[in-house]
Parts: sequence; C-alpha cells; structure tokens
Amino acid sequence: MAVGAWLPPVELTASGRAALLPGEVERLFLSSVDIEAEENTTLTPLRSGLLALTSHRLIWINDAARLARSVPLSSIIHTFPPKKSIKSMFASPRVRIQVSANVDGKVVGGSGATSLVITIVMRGSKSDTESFYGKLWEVLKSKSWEVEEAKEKENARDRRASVTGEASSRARVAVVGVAGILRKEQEMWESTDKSLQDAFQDLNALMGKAKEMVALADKMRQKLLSGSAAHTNDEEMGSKQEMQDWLLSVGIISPVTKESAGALYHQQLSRQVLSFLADFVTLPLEKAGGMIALIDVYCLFNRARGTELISPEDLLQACVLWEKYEVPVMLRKFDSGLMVIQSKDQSDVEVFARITSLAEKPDALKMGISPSDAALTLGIAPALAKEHMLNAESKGLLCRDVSPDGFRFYANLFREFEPRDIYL
Amino acid sequence: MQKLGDFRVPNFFNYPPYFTLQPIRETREKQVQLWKELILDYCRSQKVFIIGLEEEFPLFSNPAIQRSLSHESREVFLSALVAEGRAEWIDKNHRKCLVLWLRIQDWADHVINFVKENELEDVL
Repeated sequence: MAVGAWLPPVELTASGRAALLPGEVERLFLSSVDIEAEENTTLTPLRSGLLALTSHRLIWINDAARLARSVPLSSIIHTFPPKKSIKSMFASPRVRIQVSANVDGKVVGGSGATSLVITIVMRGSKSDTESFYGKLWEVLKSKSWEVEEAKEKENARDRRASVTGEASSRARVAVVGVAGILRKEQEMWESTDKSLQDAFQDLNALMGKAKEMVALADKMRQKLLSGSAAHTNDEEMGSKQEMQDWLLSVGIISPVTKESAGALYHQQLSRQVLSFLADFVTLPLEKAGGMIALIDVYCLFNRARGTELISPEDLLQACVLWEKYEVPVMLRKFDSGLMVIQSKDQSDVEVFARITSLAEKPDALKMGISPSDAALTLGIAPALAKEHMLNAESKGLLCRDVSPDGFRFYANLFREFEPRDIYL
Repeated sequence: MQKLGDFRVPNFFNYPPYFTLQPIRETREKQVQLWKELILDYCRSQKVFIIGLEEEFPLFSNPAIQRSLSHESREVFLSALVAEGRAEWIDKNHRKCLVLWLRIQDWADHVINFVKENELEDVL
C-alpha cells in the first residue's frame, strides 16, 4: 500500500504548492508534522511534512517525495481539545481529531460507516497547539466547504421563485392600470434594494462575489493560454495581450500572508511567486529574453495580490530562497546592484548575439547605440539593457564611447586594427 | 583620407571609442598600442620632440567627430611610451614628455653609422 493511501491524494503544482479547490483559502502552515492513525496500526503514518490548514482541508505535503495527502474538513466528526498534563510538556505537542471513514478504513470526506482517530504530531520548533486548535475550530465552525453547495441550492430556488413570481405579477398587472404601474415600480425598487443589501450586507458576501470574479478570470485565462497556439492573428494577439494584462489585475486567490504562514512565510511566498511567474508573467518574460527586473515583478505581484501587499524586502527574501529548490528561474544580481529574475534556460549567448547584430547595423557602426536604443529594440528596461551591454563589453564584443553627448556603445573594432600597419 | 596638416591619419582616428579610455583590459591594451604607434608616427613625420600634456596637441582631438582625449588618457598613453623606452618625462609632474623617435640605443647606432659613413672617425 502506498504511503498514506488511506487519505485522499492532493495534486501539487509545479512549484510544490497544493492545488486548491475553488474558493479554498489557506489559513495556517506548520512544518515537520506527522499524521498517525491512532488505533489502527495497519495504516502507515505520514512522517515529517508540511501541514496546511485551509478553509476546506487539512493538507499534508512531503516535499522530498512530492507526496501530498489531505483530510477533508467535512469528514471531521470531533476535535479533542489539547490535553494539558505533565507528560505533554515533554512529548511533541499533538492534536487529535476524529474523522469518519468508509468500511475499508479510508477517509473519503462526508460521513462514513466507521470512524478513526487521527493524531497530528507537531515536531516543528515550538509549534503552538493552542493557536492551531483555535484556527481549526474557527475553520470548522465557518463550514466554508458547504458554502458552494448551499449556493447551488439557493440559485436553483431563486430560479424557481422568479418563474412563479413573474406569473403572479403578470396576473396583477392585467387587472389594474396606474396602481399596477406604481406597484410594479415599487417592486422593482424593492428588488434593487434587496440585491444592494445582499451585496453590501457584510464583508463575507462581498468576498464571495470577489471570489466568483477571480474564478471567472482564472477560467478565462486558462482558455486564453490553451487557445494561444491555435491563432496567431495580429489583431487577436493584441486583444489577447490586453486581456492578459487585464486579468493580471484580478490575480491571486489565496495570497500567502504572514498571519497564515508564520515562520514558513518566506518559503511559501517564494513558491507563490514562482507559480505566479509561471502563470502570469511568462509572456513578458519570454519577450524580454527571459529576464525581468525584480522591481517589475514586485509591481505585478502586488497588483495581483490586490490587498495583503508584500514589502520589497519580503519579495527579495522569497526570491533568495529559490537557490535551495529545483526551480526554473533564479535571482541574478548584476555588478551595479540591479537585481533581476532570470529563467535558467535563457543564456547570455543569445542576448549577446542580439546585441552584436544590433551594434553591427550601418547606423550603429557610425553613431553607436545608447542603452535606451537597445532597450527599445530588445523590448527590455533601459537599466537591464545597460547591464547586458556592459556584460557584452567585458566579453570584448562592444567598446564604449564617453562624450558630452552621453554614454554610447560601439561594436569593438579594436580587434581588427593592426598596430603594425596602422594605415591598413 | 583625413589629414592633420600634411599628416595622413589612419582610419580608426574617426572611430569615437578610440578617444575614450577603454576599461576592459584586452580592449585597452589594443587601444594603447594603436595610440603609441600613432604618436610615434606623427612625431617622426612632423618633427615634434615634446608633447605638453596641458597644451593643445593636434593629434589628441578630432574635430570631425567632436572627440578629444581626456587628461587622464593622454597620461596613460604617454606613460605607456615611457615604459617602453620610447619617451621620457622631462619634469617630475609629468607635464611634458620628450618623445624619442628612436630608442636611445638606436640613436647611438645612428650616430656611429653617420660617423662611419662620413669617415669622421678619429677626427675631433
């Protein structure tokens, strides 16, 4: 039996974050957590993974094995409050929950025929059982996973109601004149009022609406990505680009926050930035030759988060963490201190080739090229273009010309002049 | 072909980076070499012995492309000549430079040859 096959598996994204369900939000992260089935020893325990408490599930992720399992919150029957005893002071803190399972002893979500008790052992440094238990309790009480179902039912009921309502009002309108119009006015006003109240009733309702929007945007983006290969019509590409830009501002469904992730904040944030890069920024990244200034990423990322903005320092720390993982991008610091995010499959050679061909155009041979010229032609930021050119200079491909007109680069012709015969 | 008086300047004299001291070692070495040759060539053909660093020197600017050498780069190029024994600083402050068209050794050979050719040996 595969490890932890008694729990439903969870899909992982390329960056190692759990793929979330629609409307699912991460609430808390804990590191080095074991999950054991207390009474049934035939069920293999899950050892040392990352535990994420979301609004729908308890997700356990083992990074090394790329293995993830979850306990649907809907299957939890009972949570035992953490015990306070002398013994518990020395052992790793643990929280016990009772979940329902089917006849085979597998946890599938919803109520089942049997039940088993699961122990969550926190081996991480000073994990706080109290706060975990509190959060768990809070999430269980809010029953977010039921909201989707309830919404479906409500929609169905609304549809039925509107059909019958229309029929009855038609009957009334048929009977009276001015009074009927007035009543209709009144009805309309009331219904507008009701929907307004619905929307602004409380923040949760508003969040619910926002979530729908994000889900919609996500769906559209998927469609755009899948369709992008089929059509290459210019106009279409333009509108697609516009759409992409627009969708960027709708953004990230479950932003990692300091509150939810605690000590694991930067680690989780680094993964989120990564998947953000993969999802949203691929187009600009490719266009710019696989390199994008950190400051640009910061702007795009924060725009995508909308609220819960992060600080530049946090982003930097998150990016520095990439060195520890197998990821397709890396943080690169130029000698001047400019920092960029570069995809690993992009090499300097390609950029050099582009710059050299640029410098060898007849105009450039006569007048040279300034970093801003190069930035325009290569479609990258001027600061970045200058870095590329300085790099090319150090490789002997370009040489510089400093004059009152400014700083320009020329193709390096020194290699071709012959000191023995200067009149060649 | 551009000229300075009756001196024919090489093509690279119109290449703007030629007038900017290059920071990259390899490129710079090549540039210094080109300058050394040009300075010697010019002085030889124009019969110039002394180059003053703070004075106008026709070779150090090219009005056609509006470029001229900075004080620092002039000193670098002349120092390179001095290091090779093709020039000597006249003063301590490196303001004036005596350009030797030929090395001291070559001058000596020249003098000897001149003396021999004109059969002036043993004549005082």
